[in-house]
Amino acid sequence: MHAELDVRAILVADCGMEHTRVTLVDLVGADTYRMVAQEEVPSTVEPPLSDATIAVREAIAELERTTGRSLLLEGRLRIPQSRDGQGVDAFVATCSAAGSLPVLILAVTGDISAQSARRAVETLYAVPFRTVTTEQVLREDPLAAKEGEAGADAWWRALERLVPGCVLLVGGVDGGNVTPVRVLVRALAEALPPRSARPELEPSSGLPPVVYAGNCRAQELVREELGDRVSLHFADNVRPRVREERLLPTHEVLSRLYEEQCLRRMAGYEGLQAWSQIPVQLPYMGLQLAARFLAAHHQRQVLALDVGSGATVAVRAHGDRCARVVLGHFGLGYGMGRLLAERSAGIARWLPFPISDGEVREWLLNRALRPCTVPDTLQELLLQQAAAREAVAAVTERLWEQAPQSYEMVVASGGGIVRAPRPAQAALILLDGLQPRGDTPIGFVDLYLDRFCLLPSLGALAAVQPDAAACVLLQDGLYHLGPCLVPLGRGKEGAVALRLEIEFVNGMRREVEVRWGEVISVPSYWGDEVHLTVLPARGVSVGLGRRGERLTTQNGDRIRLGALGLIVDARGRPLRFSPDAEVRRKYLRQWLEQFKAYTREEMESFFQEPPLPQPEPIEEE
Amino acid sequence: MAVQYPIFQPTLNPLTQITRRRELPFAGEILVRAGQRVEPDDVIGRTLVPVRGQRFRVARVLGIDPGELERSLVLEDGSEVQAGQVVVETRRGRPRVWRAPIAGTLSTAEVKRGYVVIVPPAEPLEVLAHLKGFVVSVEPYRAAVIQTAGVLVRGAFGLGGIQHGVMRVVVTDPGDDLAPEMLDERLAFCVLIGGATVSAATLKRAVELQVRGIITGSVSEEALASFLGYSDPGRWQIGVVDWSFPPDSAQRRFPLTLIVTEGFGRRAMCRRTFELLAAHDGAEVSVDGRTCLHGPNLRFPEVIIPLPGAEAEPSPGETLLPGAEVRLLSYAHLGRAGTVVALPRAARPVVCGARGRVAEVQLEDGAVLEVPVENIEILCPQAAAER
Repeated sequence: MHAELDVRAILVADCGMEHTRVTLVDLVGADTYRMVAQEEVPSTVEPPLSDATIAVREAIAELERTTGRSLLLEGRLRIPQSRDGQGVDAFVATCSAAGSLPVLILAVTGDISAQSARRAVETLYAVPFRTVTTEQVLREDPLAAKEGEAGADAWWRALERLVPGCVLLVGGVDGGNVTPVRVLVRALAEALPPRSARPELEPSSGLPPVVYAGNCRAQELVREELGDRVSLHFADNVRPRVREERLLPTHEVLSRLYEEQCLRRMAGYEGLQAWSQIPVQLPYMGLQLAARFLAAHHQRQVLALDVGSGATVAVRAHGDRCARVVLGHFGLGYGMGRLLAERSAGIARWLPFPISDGEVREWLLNRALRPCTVPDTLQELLLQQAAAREAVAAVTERLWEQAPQSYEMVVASGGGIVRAPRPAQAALILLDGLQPRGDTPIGFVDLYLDRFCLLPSLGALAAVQPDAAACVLLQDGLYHLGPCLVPLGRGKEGAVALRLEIEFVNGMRREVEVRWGEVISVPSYWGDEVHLTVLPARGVSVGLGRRGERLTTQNGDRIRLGALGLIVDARGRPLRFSPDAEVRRKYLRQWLEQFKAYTREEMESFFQEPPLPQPEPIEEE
Repeated sequence: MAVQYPIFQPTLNPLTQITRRRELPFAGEILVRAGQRVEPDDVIGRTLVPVRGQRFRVARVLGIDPGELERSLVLEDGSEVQAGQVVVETRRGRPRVWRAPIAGTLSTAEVKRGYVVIVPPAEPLEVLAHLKGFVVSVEPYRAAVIQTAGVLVRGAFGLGGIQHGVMRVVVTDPGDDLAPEMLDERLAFCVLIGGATVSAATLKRAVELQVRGIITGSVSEEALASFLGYSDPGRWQIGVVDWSFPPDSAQRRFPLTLIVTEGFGRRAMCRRTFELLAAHDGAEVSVDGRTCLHGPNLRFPEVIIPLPGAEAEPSPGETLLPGAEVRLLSYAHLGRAGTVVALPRAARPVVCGARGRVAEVQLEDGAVLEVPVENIEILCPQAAAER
């Protein structure tokens, strides 16, 4: 305990693909840690600088300028903190700049083992970039195809691209028939380049390691066929029984490979590690820790999201249970390529101006080419936010495969959401992407923003000073957007969905009527604690209440309102879009305006100027 | 507040010292020496590229077990075999033979598993200079470094490898599209300068005519997908396996090098770029379309126009300062260029109330825009802009 108290000032660095963020946390008062300052600079992992620590130094130098503290001495950190407050006691780092590990899944069946393997891969910065099943292996025989005949799409050609990367081989339940696994293993062995008695005659190419996480009875068979060919790793079966899934052992093996193949090879990793008091942490672990802490602290079901440039993460925590999905290479900057490949068709539906799917794809591709650019027009901002909605929807769809779709508190982190210029825009991204139902014991969903993107760094901070992590999370990390009520049921558009009676602390009362098709925020002073009475219309329910049941907090705790006051989303669940594009756009404009995410003038500007820029007019010479 | 590292490499450089390494993929013979003058068609080095061996399931084909296969081999490991030559002959029962379907070197390393491997002969490969200049250094058996003074233009993305040819300006204005009917046999082996965009039909016609390269302002996603044979958007998995662009370009050979200077869509080529290229119409040019968007191998496509006799220094990275000639990168302004007139230190509103560090950029038409610093790129070095 005393050792912990010795750590007063801590520098927390978060090296992302686009930005590097350094936060100074210090003891303020007797026993409270607070975020003192934060600086963000462009990352320097790429050539020509190729050293992640350059950006860290730059950010620390900026911190010195803003705080007036001396943190560096001759290019090195001043550790420990001196009596006059110069320097820090600890430096910790998280890093997501190393990218993701591509994984080729070889599975006996596409619906059971392949799905479990995909879920195992999606627990870390890895991408299940291709799944090959026994059926496909039997159809496409690597030895039957003559040289040059097989196209670039042939499954075994993917092996040549897996540097870095690995093969994940799964299939069968423990103790089951090994024949299907044998077919797969033989196919993989035949797909590997043949060994030659004279290796100098062979083109040199590194072979990807193979992780076997299938039927335990087939382990010996796998070792026999592949053991002397590739680096072989074994993990417990991802599907030991038909109704049982075990992802953790595979996650651990893949994590080791990620660290060896990606993290340690990142430019500047060694420098970062040398500075850090603890091993460099991965941001998704910090997000998970924060989600678990919040779930325990508030006794609530928590959903934490991180929509970043290169990866998107979702964690659901409730009591002891925790589920996590990490979509590597899926984000709003460097991850735009995968987002385009998987979700581009859904983006246009969120746009209140006419745009073709082709134009959306072109915008996404331009973002992929220049991931560090920022939106500087309304159209681009809306496009970016539409992509963020799809990222949120994609990651939570995967999460609901593993965890119940129930949460009372949403915490959103990552530039994709927190950089929205207005809090209402961030809230609407969450409402649209998640489409919360609020059918939880507390009857509503609280929306929070991690405005300083601290959550991913909390794992590293907690490792050196758990109190600091808890204090910073609770006092600096969360920006409360507000509780969100969702009437469930269907009604005619414009008909009353529910009535609200809000009683403020000072005794002032306010009544609000919400109609079907509306998404509104009832403004209040931020942090107001109110009593709320909800009177749903006939056939309408709120939370776990019965249809038409009146709910009130008069006899219980007050509800704390947020920056947007109280949010009510009466658009119905799931959101339905008109097949008529003009009608759909009309509704989108209405929602954006009604929720004050955009002003009427901003929405009207779409009718005054062409929706997307045309080529420059060419002047005649 | 974003710190600006002095890392901006200008997109255009009207005169700079260019050094490029030409490397053999496998150890071989370097045919040039330091100090030697080279022409684009000169062979820098040659080597033999090993070909991956082919595995044949002989035991299964002959219906014998691997042990018997080993005993039935009539040739020794490492023997040269001709196509049709008997490699395996069974001795028990009715004799059966297996003839080599291809020529190569026999490998018996996998006989115990029932396979026979034949390694086809290595393929000869010559690496050309693709650049007019001087060899400044040689790495024996591996590489030569060529240096020249010349024009360097960097693109947004490209496809295809290194090519060289005579540059031909085919359009009259950077806003013109390069249409298939503009291409004819006279343009074979040339590198063409287009304007705004090219269609898939133009690209296919260029391949038919053996055009070596096309430099254009933009290309539509639809046209490029059609040319690449991408049937659905799922093929644009950029960065999932590697950061080469287009996503599977590391595994493909393109018959044509395409360099896109601005990006996707239909945008006129930046006028400054077009004018610089057009000023060298008829010159020998080297184009390299290889693109890698992230990581240690980060690279962008480039156009090099050697200017023999000119003297130049290597250009250092540029820092964004007032007076810098820049081009705009956001989707709305892609293809436009201007001059930085001010770099306010304080954050300014950008869009919808968002604040960020901006540069005040005066466009070619005189209008002044406040552009986020993330959305600009230095177009040409300050010294060149002043000239």
